[in-house]
Amino acid sequence: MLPLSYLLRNLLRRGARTAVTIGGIAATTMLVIAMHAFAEGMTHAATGNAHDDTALLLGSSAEVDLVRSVIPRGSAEVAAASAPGVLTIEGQRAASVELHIATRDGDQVGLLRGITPAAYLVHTAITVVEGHEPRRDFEIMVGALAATRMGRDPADLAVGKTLRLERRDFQIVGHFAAPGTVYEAEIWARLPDVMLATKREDVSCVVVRLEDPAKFPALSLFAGRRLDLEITAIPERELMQSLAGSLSPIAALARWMAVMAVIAGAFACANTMFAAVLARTRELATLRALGYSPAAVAIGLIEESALVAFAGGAVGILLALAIGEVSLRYPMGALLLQADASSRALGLGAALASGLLGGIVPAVRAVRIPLVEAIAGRT
Amino acid sequence: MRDLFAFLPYVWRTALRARMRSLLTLLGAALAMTLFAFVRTVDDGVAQLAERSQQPVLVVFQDSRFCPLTSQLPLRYERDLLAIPGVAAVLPTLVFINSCRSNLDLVTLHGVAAEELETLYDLILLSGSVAAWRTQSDGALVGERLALRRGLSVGQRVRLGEVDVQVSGIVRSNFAGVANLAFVHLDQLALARKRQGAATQFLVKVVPGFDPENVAEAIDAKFLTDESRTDTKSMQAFVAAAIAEIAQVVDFARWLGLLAVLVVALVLANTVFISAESRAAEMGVLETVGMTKGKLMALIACEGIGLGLLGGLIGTGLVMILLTVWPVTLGVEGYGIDLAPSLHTAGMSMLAALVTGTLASLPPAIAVARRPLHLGVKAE
Repeated sequence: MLPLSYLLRNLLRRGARTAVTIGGIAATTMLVIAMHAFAEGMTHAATGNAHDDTALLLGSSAEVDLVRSVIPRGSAEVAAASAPGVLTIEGQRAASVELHIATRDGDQVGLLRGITPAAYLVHTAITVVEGHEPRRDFEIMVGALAATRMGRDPADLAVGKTLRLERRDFQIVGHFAAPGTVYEAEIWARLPDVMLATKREDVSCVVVRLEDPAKFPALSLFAGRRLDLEITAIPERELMQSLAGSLSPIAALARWMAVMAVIAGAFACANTMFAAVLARTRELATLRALGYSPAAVAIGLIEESALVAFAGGAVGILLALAIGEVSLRYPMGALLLQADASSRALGLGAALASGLLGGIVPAVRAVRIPLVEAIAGRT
Repeated sequence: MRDLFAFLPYVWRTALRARMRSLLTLLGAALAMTLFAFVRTVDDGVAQLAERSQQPVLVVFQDSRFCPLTSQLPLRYERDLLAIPGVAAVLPTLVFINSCRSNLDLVTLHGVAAEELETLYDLILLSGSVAAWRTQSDGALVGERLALRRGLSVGQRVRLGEVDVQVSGIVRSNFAGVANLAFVHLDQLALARKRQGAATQFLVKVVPGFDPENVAEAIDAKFLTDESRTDTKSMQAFVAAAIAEIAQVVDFARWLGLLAVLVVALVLANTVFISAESRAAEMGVLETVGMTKGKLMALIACEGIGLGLLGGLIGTGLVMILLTVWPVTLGVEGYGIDLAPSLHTAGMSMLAALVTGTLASLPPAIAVARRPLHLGVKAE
């Protein structure tokens, strides 16, 4: 095998070219990280909080859309109190009657969820990180991405501030986190306050946590039999997947763009390695004449390419980390883009793949030139 | 300049001499320019939607409501609206869209009273008949972009947004959103969606000479204490609010496009470096026989610029062909951002390719051209 120091010296000998290639791979790595973070963020924000033991009772005409779902409050309360298979925690049924509102204030759109205390038994991903949950009239707590969702400065949503929603002043009393879930873009208030502010007499859904996922058929049967309630049952995972379905083509598009970026990066690497091979035909032939096997020479060239790609990948990751977290809002949600471990690993993997793909063909070509012709410098 | 054009065949032969290198550069540049051209298409789609929203029309929506699925106003408001000074015409519209979220398969239905449709919209009929639509209770006038995406033709029965309709005509309009919607009869949609007696929004035409802002204020004041409060905006402001929802994603895409251009620039700069270095002796000879440093530099840069332009052409062409074969519309709050290839998009992409090729090729060209003559000749 060729020593590593020899490979490194070769790269440094053509410093400008190596630097430009590293720059190209770094830009490619950043593209891959950004695209992956975007695609994952969109998919995860919709489906990340789904649990197998959670199900929703929606208005029977809502199909799978919470925005369209309407259940009379009385029917929802009856369903919450009598649905079978619902988990009981410390004497409380884990059945949360909720009203979901997308509220607009000027150009700002907030996602408002009216809840009862049972919500905390159902939505286990929620952690109150500052202040407390809404307890009194017109109090709200806001998610970590609510400011992004509303296009506001995070300072505007500090605990103690007032937020005007539905022509009512709500006092912010807490902040909550639920990383990677759709909740983070939301604002939570007490159900009666939201109903009063929006002049609604109905609610959107009842979210229930089941004793066991196997209890869902019984819940579904209950919803089907109670025609008076006009409700339908759907597992949370199924609902989330159908919501994510509308976003998945956009995520798929981002992934395709990432693949194209990787291929472009591979071409950049291959270009550099082809040039390196052509410029060093004699040198590589001399190595073979000295006794290095063609495989050792080829592996050495691939290692050179991989080294450049690794350096490019590392620079790309460092730049992505330097940029830090970026929050983006999209209709009915917000997501946090971050160069997390999986994005970084994918970025580095893509960079190395570029290097390996770009290095193999020139390396094979280099060792396939007959030794005599190569020593004579004929390529 | 004429001298330089005379050298173009030489540049072409130089690129062909290193076929593999040129091909790799071309493919790298083409792929990255594909990304850039796609992002430009999104950008242009947003600009076009904003431009089409500049109509002298007000949109009366339920106050504090996002997404047409959540706005509900009593139909009786039409009568009250017509009594407000400055209101020339009113079109109650019941809107159904398949999703309030971003999606790539937007279907929007506008339920309107047949006889009132053309009081607000200027429609150009591409095929079919508006008269037939008026008399056919389940007829639909389909926007040209929706018809293209779904492959619809006049006379076809189709299920749009959970409503069965027969296509009576295909229409075009300068109004924002019309390209991606289907007009159906108000009664039919109200029955299908169980929304009898309600409208999602009212479109209001203002009498020329009246200030639209004053009329909007008068409308909101009129219904302030009524069953449902209203929020009245100009069509432009209304569409701008919808676009604002997707603005950050578009900005993000713009940055990705710039990164793609950076990849192109680095690939091209690398190629020009390699190409110029491998021809140091040749450059020395050209300089010895009288070629000036400036021309030498231009000669070297031409290869990078040419490859960049060709890569841009392939990338842009690819995006234009793909989006023509598979039309894509990004839906946001009931409005469609059409990713439709246009000459403007193509022009901007080619301009980017030219600028990138020039900026990427010049530094290596300058570096090589500045090398002392004797070093180049010595390389021979």
